[in-house]
Order: sequence, then structure tokens, then C-alpha cells
Amino acid sequence: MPASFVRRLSSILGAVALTLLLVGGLRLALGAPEPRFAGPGASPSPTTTASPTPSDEGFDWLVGTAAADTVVAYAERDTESEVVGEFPRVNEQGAEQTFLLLVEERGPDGSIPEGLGWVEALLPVRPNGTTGYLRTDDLSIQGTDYRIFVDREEFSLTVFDGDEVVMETEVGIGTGETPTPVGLFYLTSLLQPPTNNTVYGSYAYGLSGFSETLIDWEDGGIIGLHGTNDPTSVGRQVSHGCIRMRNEDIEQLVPMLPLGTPIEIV
Amino acid sequence: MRTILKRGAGAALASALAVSLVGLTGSASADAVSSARGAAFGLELVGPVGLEPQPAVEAVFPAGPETAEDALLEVPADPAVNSATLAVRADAAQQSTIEPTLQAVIEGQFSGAPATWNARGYAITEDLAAVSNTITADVIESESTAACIDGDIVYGSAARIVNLGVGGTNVPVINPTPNQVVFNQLGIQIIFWQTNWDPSTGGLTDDGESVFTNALRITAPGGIDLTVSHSEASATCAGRQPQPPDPDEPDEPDVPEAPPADPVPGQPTFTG
Repeated sequence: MPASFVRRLSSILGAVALTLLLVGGLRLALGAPEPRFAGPGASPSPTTTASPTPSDEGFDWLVGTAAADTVVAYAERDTESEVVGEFPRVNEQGAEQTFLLLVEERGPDGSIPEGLGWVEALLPVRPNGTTGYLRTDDLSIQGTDYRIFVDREEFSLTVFDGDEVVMETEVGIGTGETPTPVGLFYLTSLLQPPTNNTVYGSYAYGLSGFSETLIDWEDGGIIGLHGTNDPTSVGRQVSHGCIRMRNEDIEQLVPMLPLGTPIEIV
Repeated sequence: MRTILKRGAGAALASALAVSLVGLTGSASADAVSSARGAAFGLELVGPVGLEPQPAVEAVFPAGPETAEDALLEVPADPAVNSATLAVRADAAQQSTIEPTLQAVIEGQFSGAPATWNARGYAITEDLAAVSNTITADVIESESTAACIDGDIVYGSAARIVNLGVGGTNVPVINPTPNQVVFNQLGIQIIFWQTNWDPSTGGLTDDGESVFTNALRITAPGGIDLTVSHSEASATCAGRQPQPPDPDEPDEPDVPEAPPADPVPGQPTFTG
């Protein structure tokens, strides 16, 4: 190596070190790659009709369970974009943090194309219907064909396994002052109360949705789907927004439904 | 930004300037695999000014896209990476249908290597200027491949560089072997064709489950640790004779079914 070259190189390296010191806090502002595939469809709104993601194979719905200590939801497919929410691995009800994934593009087997790196998800936060983009690396992804449909006017709840109706029953809903919210939600937790003799009956699912009138309720006013100690309240507007089922009905759901099961309320 | 990188002046210079092109090829055919994965990224920088791997792609069989590609045409000026254009591609397939990009022109062949592969990662960087324009190269390519041959995994690795320069002086890369240090002066170390691939056997030199190839690995004063044109590939053999699907058996989805929720003992606080 010629001495002149070594001197020139030493000079260059000195400048490099100085520059690095000056820009030590600077991150390269490389633009995040744009999504390769079209993003999910429109975010669910209260008037959305729940319909399974079209797919000839695989599950109708995909569910993401937190695989990281914290799952961060972003406004865009970009870690530099606005943070919509941060979710610990276990939610406040002690259940695994779960998200309903809004996936329009599927692989040939019905799975998410992993190369995407991002997936839009319905989030268990106010306001109802909030979505965000999650890193697929932060999720364990599973599928389900179950979905729940609640018709407030009919006081009815129907559980589907794909196209097959596996349960159709009567439910109680919120009163006029504390109505059951409408929209697309999903099951976020399943609690077994210490006794059946409370308003929650034998089991209570937490939903991703919140009461739109009870803002100061403990834990934020999470809407529940639960049993009851008063079967006569079924078929009426009696609740603070929760959906009440007979205990024998909800006990049929417990061995069936996973967290993340979508529930549409109209 | 998302445009397939055009082969520019760097490629045109390949025949006229110092070209180092190494790797493997062969004629054996590969079996079906139960899983395969290819991945690649253009640049990664570890140091005081960090840079996440990008553009980065991954192709996964059976649970992902068979092909993924991305490109980044302009890198904002930075002391560690002044400029570069980058393109990456990943492929994964159950059958050995993937034709490597570099294989057709590679010298130094591995006799047991297949002609086509089940997984492949490929990265190309052009017009690199790094470390305050001290280190330059016209073309830097990396390719990693994996295939299943007679029930065993065979890996491949290839790298190519055109016109590597340091401080304006050409650094020749002639007949390289894997993990060859091609420059080591004044705190700058440049490794060409950094890989865990064993060229004598087609296996790996470590206990990993995938082959990786860093076309260039540069360390420099100031804590700079720069990887340029990274690729990796892996596969899992499905057996020598893939069984045809049983028409009576329903197709099993590759995404597992979510199990019923486990009840958590506790008093709910839902609105009731």
C-alpha cells in the first residue's frame, strides 16, 4: 500500500470519525418499503356487514395472539408512523392479548403472505372500530371459522361455524340509555366468575368494543357477552350494554370459541 | 421507490473491470420439501447510526409468498452509507423450480449441487459509496440457495463484486474463498463473500439451519459495521418420495386452528 494512499486514507478516516460524532443521534431516514400487496379493506364501521375474508381455502378469519412482550399498533405500515396503541402480552383481564386480523390478501393456502411483514388488525381500544397495523413478527397467527352475529332488534344471537349455524338463541341487550354498541368486534377474554350468582352468570367473554355511554366504568366500559343469574332478563333491554345469555347457552360456547372470534352486532 | 433495480453502469462494467464471481452449480435435481425459506436484504448498519436491514424480503413455503422482491433506489446521504441502489428478492417453493441468478455464470462448482433449488435469497447493490465515500463498488451481489437432494439438505452460496475500491484505489478480489478478508488497513476491514457455507460439501460450517451470504461485510472506525447484499436460504426435506394427496383427506390449512379460549378465574368488570 503506497504511503501517500495511507496518508490520504488516514485523513479520510479522521473526517469519518468526526462526522459520525456530529451525527451520532441521526438515524438514516430510509423510507419504509411500501406494502407489496394491497392493504386490507375499509376499516369496520358500525354499519359494516361482517363477512368472512373471501378464501377458497384456509380459515374464514385470522386471529393474532401477542408473541412479543408488547405489540405496537401503528397508523401505517411504518414504525415511524403514529403509534395507535401498545398492547402487553396479557390484557387486563388476564387473557392472552388477541387481535382480529383484517386480511384481504391471502396466500393460496389462506394464510397471510408472511413477506408482508405487516397486518391490519381491529384493536381493543376506544373508539370502537379503531384499527392499526401490527408487525406479523409480533404475532402468533391462527385461524377460525366461528363468528357470532347479534341482532338487537330480534334479541337474537347466532353462532356460525363457516356457513353452518351451530347456535341460535335469545339474548338480553342494553337499555335505551346504555345501548349495546353496534359494529364488528371480537372476543378478547373469557372469565369464570367465582360464583354463578352474579349478573355475569357462569362465564363472561370480554369484547373488543366499549360502551359509548359509560365512559367512566371500571376498566373503561368493556362490553361483555356473558351468562346471567336472572334468565328472565334474556329477550329484553336490561343491561348496561352487555349481551346476556342464559348460562346453559354460554356454557355451550366456552368449549367452542377461541379468543379473537368475530362478533358483529347490528 | 418500488421499482425493480435496473442493471446500470455497474453491470456494464463487469466485463471490463475486475470481476470476482464465485459460488456453486451443478446438475442434480432436488426433491420436494416440507418447508423452504428465502430471504435477503440490501444493507444493514450496526453502529452509532444504526440502519435496520432494508430493503428486506422473505419468501416462505408453505405459509407465505413464493416470491417477494423489493428495491430501494436512493439512500439518503449519510457518513456510513453515502449512496447505493439496492434490490432484493426471495423465493421459496415446494418443488425445485428456482433458478439461481448467479449460478449460470459462476465458476468453481460444487459437484453435488442441483441445477434448481427450493429456496433462494438474492441481493444486488449497485453504485455503493460508503464510509464517507472511502469504500466504493459498482456491483455487489449475493445469493444463497437451499434444496433437498435425496433426503438431505444441500446449500449453495455465491457472491460477486465489480470494481471494489478503497480510498480511490482499486482492491482486486481474485479467486476468493469464503470469508476472505480483502482489505484490512487502518481500522477498515472488508470481508468479501462472508458465509457459513462449506464449498467442499455443500453443508454449513456452523450449527445453523440456514445458509447465509454477506457479499460484503465492512467494519470501520466509529463503530461502523456494515453488511452489504445479504441473502439466506433454508429448507426442510419432505422425504425422497412425496406422497400424493389423499383425495379423501380434507386439505389441512397451514394456519393452525385457534383453540377454544381458556377461562380465566376472576370477577368481570364488564358493563354488565
